[in-house]
Amino acid sequence: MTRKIVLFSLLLAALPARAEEDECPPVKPAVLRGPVVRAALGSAIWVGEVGDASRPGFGITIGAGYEFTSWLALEFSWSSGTHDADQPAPPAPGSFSTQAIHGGLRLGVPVDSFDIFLRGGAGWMWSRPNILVRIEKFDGQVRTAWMGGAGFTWHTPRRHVWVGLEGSVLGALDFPGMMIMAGAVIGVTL
Amino acid sequence: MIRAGYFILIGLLLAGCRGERYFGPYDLQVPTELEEVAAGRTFVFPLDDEDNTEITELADCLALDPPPEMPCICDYPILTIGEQVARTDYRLVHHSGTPVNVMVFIGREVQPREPDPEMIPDLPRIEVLAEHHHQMSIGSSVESSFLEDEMTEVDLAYNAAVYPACPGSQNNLPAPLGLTFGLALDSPDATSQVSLEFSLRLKKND
Repeated sequence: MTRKIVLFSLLLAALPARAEEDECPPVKPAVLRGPVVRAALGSAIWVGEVGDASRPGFGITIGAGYEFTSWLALEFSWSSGTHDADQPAPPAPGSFSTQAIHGGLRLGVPVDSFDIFLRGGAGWMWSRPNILVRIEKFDGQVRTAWMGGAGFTWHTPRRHVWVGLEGSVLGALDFPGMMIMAGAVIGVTL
Repeated sequence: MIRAGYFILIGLLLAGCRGERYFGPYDLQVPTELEEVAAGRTFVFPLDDEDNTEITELADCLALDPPPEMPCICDYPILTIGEQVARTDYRLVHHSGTPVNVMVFIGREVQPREPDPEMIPDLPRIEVLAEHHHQMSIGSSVESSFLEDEMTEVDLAYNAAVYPACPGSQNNLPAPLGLTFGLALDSPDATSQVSLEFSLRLKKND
């Protein structure tokens, strides 16, 4: 009996403390900044002369970077798109892939757990094989390239992980088309 | 799931490094401006730095006195049959005239010392190594290809005709440096207008 009284007393003693805890505002986890890696997967479509001779395809981007602050990050990425040709024969139907390597900056605006961002960069891009035979400059050569994009990310309750949507436009100097990529992205702050 | 991702990634990377190149499209039309019912165009295969080195070695070998027992081309083939795989895609269009049989061919121009094969009217010095025949009505078109296996057969036929003394496995035999692609009307008196558009895909083997 004595033991039950002691336990009940302890429970009563604990209740006010619990009530005090509930009154505290929930602590928001701080958004981590620092080195990041990301992967994006989505659709990719060409516009321009290359777009006239190809079908929509899919694209993937893998990137790494460093967030100096909530609004500025240095990024490096590799993007790849695969498309079927849509042109009169010859040649027989086939596909081509585009590879792009970029380095650039990302400017962001943090809003709560979200980051809204713009990015831009420069690098190299090439499309092979040169299956679009009627487009003279679709020649498989590596060209100086540029990239611009926008999107948003949401920093999930799992502190290191963020997800979002992003779109980008990839082009190259003296190349007859631009590749537009849009897709979902998942990233990790290391 | 992760393994599938790896495969997609590797596939994308390899897709950009397949070593494929397309050439063309090239146009031919019969009858020609000279009223010939056959037309051909010679395609010379592109050479890389390694091939150019072999040209130098071949020239050195040809300059040897006395000449070696084995023909120099056997030891210093500039291109080999196994080095690259070709595919020829084409489209034939019958524009006007009467229904006609059309031959699309791949051949070689015989060397000066060889007699004229006279296999194709108006192109007497072309030896046909592979051929497709199409019966065409007015306004019809045909899309087809000489696939990789057929092109390898062409290389072997060329090798047997030009370098019969070279021993070795099929892949290491000397391959043609150029081939003639064309079309010919089967009936010489035909008044039909037919055009051929073709392209080549070359794929380097590792």
